[in-house]
Amino acid sequence: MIVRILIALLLLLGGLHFAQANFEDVKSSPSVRKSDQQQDSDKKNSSRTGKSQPSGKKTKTPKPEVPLEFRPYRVRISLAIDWQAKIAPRLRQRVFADLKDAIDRSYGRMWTVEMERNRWLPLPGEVGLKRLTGDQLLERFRPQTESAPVPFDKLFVLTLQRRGPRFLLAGREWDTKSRKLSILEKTSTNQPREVGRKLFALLPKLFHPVFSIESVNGTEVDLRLQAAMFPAIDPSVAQVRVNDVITPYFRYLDKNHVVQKIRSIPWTYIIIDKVDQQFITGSMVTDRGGRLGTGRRRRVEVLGNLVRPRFSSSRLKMVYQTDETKPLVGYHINLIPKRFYRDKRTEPLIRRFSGRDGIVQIPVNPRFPIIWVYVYSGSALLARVPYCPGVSNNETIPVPDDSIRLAVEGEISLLKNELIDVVARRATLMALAKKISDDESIPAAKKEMQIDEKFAMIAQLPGIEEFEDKLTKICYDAGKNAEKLKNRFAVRKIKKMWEDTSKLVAKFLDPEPVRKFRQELREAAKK
Amino acid sequence: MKKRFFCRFLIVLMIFAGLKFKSCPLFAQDEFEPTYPKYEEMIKNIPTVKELLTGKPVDWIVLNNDDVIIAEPVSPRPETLKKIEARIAESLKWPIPQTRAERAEQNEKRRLLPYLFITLRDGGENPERKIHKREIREIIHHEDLLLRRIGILQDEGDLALSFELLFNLKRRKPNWPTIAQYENRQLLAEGKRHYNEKRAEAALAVLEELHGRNPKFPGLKELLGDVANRLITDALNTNDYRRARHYIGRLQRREPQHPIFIKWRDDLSARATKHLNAARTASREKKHDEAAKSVAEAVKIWPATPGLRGAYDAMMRRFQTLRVGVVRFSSAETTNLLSTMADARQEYLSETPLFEAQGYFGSPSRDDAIYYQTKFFDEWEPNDLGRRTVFKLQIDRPYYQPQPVVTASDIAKTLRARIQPQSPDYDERLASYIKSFTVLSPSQLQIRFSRVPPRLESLLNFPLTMTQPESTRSKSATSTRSASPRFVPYRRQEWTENQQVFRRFLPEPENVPENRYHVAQVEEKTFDSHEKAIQALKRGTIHMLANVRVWHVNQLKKDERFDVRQYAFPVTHVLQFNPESETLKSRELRRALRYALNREDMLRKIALRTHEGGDPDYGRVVTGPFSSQSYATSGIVKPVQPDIILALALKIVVNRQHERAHNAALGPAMFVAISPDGEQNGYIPTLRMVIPPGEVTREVAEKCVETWDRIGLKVQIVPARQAIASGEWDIVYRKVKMVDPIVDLWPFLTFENRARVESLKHFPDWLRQELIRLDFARDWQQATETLRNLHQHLAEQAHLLPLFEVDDFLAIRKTVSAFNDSSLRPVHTYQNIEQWIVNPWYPPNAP
Repeated sequence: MIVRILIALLLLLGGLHFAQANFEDVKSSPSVRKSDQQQDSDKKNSSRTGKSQPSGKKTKTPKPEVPLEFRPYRVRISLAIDWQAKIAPRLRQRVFADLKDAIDRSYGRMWTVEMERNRWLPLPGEVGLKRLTGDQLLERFRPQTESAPVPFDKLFVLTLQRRGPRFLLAGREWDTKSRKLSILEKTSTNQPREVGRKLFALLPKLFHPVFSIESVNGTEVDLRLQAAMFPAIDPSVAQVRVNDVITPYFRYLDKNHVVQKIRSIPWTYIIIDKVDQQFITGSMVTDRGGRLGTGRRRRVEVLGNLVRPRFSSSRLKMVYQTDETKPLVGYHINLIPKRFYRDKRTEPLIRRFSGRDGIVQIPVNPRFPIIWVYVYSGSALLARVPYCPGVSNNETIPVPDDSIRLAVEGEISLLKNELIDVVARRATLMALAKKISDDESIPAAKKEMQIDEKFAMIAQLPGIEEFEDKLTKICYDAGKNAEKLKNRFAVRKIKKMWEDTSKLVAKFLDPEPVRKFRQELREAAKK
Repeated sequence: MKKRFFCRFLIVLMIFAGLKFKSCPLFAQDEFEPTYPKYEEMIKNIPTVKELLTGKPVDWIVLNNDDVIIAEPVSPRPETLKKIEARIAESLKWPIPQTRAERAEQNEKRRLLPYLFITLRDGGENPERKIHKREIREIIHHEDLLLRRIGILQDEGDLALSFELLFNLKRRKPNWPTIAQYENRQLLAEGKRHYNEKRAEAALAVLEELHGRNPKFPGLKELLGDVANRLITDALNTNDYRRARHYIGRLQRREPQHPIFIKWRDDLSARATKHLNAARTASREKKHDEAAKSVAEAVKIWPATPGLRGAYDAMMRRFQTLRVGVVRFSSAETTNLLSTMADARQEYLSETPLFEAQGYFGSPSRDDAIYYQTKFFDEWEPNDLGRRTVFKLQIDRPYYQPQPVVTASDIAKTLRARIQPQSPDYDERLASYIKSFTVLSPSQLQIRFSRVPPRLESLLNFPLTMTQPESTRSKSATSTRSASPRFVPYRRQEWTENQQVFRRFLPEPENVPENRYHVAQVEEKTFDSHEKAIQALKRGTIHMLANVRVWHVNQLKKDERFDVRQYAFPVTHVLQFNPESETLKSRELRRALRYALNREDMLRKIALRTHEGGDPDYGRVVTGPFSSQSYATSGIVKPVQPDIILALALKIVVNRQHERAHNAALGPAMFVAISPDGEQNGYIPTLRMVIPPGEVTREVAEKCVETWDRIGLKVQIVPARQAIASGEWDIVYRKVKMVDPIVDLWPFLTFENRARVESLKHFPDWLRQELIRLDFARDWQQATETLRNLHQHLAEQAHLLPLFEVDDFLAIRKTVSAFNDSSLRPVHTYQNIEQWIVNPWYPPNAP
């Protein structure tokens, strides 16, 4: 008993000392901690301008803002232990102690940790974690007043279960800024003494560092990283490395700097190019320019979370833009590992074919974190997006509906068949006429009659007008329909097909060569 | 009167005087009468064949003094002397002359009546003679000389020449008195010769003919016995009892008391009795299959065995065997590409689908155009607008059902195997429809659908079997399906080169009335040709012909013994192109191939054989890979008329395309070096065609190749197995019966047995998306509309080349009670076979 008391005292003292040390380093008063806690809701100053803003009615004096790099993560670890696991109190204490020890040893001042025994998770285990949603957590940790802060930056909900001699451990991270729940990570052990260590091993996998996007210049992006000034003691859990990928998002705030909306930016990634403690630069990879904007608007924060591939591949589901319940079945997809879409391909092309559920499997390429996904319908490119595989298990791409264009293409293809038939017949009849003309055994009068007959047959074949009429009928109706559905992609493609086919018809059904040929035969007959 | 008497007296005196004085010839008018050869000399030198055939015909007049006068053929003939006698006798009935002149005339005629007027062969200037009949002992006519020569030839064994002479004589003088005798001799000699030359069958035929002419001909009976004995022994050595009985019967019909017949009758009867006793023992021990086998064997040996008929009827009713004649079996090496009707037959016997197509109503507008039936469910009710269906399974199994009662859990296992992607039975299409399924009770199963299928029955048209995993599959197993053998209605029991036997999995119970038992076993026998199969059907060796050639149909329909049934779906002949073939990606080339063919002509001449009596109504030119009566057929699509000139023009277009491609790829300099392989073939590579086995298909394929050759397109028929294995083929000839095109078209086009999206990879976009649209159709109407559009586009793009369809028939002996509904045409050969009854049929030709 005495030993336990002594250990508790030592821990308490150690914790106080550690907290003090943190705050001394950033040269701020003890009230800084409070100020940090209020960062999310107060937002007196935007991170870019640094100007002070009124935080709410109750706030009277502006408080100095701590730059993001100097702000350690406020981390809460909530460990749920299955009551059926029958964990002895001693072991439970040891788990908490081991976990805390390991965090301190690895993250050091980067994290300020608060630990609790979770008693609110209905099913303390993998199932409970799977059922957990961001909205549930937001509801649970929503402050009483709108402007009040959430008391942590990161919440790690961990669970401990027991199946026979085996301890099953799982966890998820909830980021209060992006309000996103991470995927579930799990592990297991047979050794009770390893439970704390194994639980800790889940944390680096779950932890998503937070970035602030400062400026965008073309594809170059300047970033700031939270707690960049407090590098991890253990380099293996360093926050960022070159070639890491960040997924950006916008946070829209109201005039009280309360978050109104969080919007993720689709198909946009930032790849880290250079890390020099707090000076971080990266390249923006996006399907189209201007996703992040060049200037900053008031009350909009552009943040990002670092993501690391957790799976060997991802399932990318393609759906129609017009109806996201309808999968894109039977389409060719090309995967090209490269950074920017204008880059030349250095890796072999990966060909995929979407299945009945519109899903294709995209493997992780260790050399290229980003893979460009090209979706084709025939020769038409429907979509071209960058994608970071392995981060999530499933992803969905909405793709323009190509059915109208495809239908037109089919109709035009049939029209081309007819055109080929007509051209072939015309050529055959001309050849026959030439043969008759060259045949000296046929009397001149009869020859003339026979040649006339062949040219009469040529004249009866469908001409440019007939084909143009058919073409107009095919393309006009379809074009109108596409316009009505606001399918600009289809409108553009139909227009192009119309023009191309029209040129083809004009070229091959030009009556001039036939007329000239007739003339030649007549002259030959006169001679 | 006195004068007449005096005259006669004088004549008698003169004759008497003439006899007395030999120097005075009685008949000669010429004083230089030659001397004649003697009969003994002449008879030793019968003219040769050459003399007889090439020389002038002569008759020999043998006088009482043994002299032989050689004269030109006398008249009347034959039996000249008898005719003279008859003439004389006739003269006594002449009317009494009224005048003196008449009397004189009559006297003169009467005086000359006994004389035979002859013309000597070497008689000089005055060869005519007359000889009194009493001077003539015998007249050997030219024909008799011929016959004597024939006799000599027969004795010498020159039967060919003797036959020729005999034949010649018979043709000229069919009623010559002694010709029959020589003919009989000829037949006996022929019989002997055949027998000695080990041609007993021919010998028997000859001797039977002789027996018909003269049963008591010397030597005939003994020889007939020897010949029949040899034939019977030979037949029994090969256990061909039918043949042995045939010869015994022939012998019995000729000689009912012949010792050889009696010997064999007793022998075979004893053998049959032995089998009959064995059958009775087996029957008492409830070994009905053995009993049926033994009793059938007994009937085969000697049907006339006393007591056999009754036992045969009872035992054959208890264990019924349906014997079916086919031309080929299903092969383990058959791929889906060239699957045959034999594969479909075997599949039907070895699998029972949850729902199976049983008929076609022929109404394209109805969603129940295909009539489906189930042997597992009592009822199934769709709820929630079709998104949920509860299936109630049959609790009581009919006694004739060959499978045990199936529980909801059995079906659930099959469903699970079919919707799990890791399973070898994974069915992508089914998985896309089924959201979940729940076993509510052992007899109730609920399926939830993620989307409503246009037709539930066609979606669940799969058997309750699962494929064995690769690791546990036996190396010798030919079929990959076997994990759940208890769901197999008929198992393959035996398999030899020309026979395979399928036996009911669960036998029918014992306590059923004798006349309520059904087919327990199906025996399929192969025949070299359809003609031989028909012969076997007529003989009663088999009960049924699975497929009858259309030109035999009308002939069989006329036979009262058989029921000729038309299948619900005709066989459609289609040429399909390899989607991976680079050459055939050219639409122009495909169209050239299509325009070149005269399909109507091929249909009439090869498939229907109208010139051999085939009915032209049994076949039609088609526009799609399905039946012309199918709901999938679009009325807009019309058959393409052959146009060889257009085909040639299109071929030239394709050739130019290939030429450009060559030039672009090789460059002008290299192009000269690597020139195309001939003026005719141009730059288009030789296409490779694979065809399924079959006489008609080969002929059609050869005709196609010949036609394409006319426009300069070289197509080569390559061995199917290697070509398919290596994927090196361009065109495949397929025979297909597409029952439900909504579900069957996709697998057909992709050469697979299931609809997999991955298999559409090499298809053009329009076709791929249209097939997907068809698969995702919400209801029957949308599905049929999409299907008809697809039909139209397939035809216009010449994606495949449908040739024609030929009606398919089966012929079955009326002793078999099959196909309860006579109005509905069967889809499968063995449709509901578990309810068929084979009534015993006793061979009528038992001796």
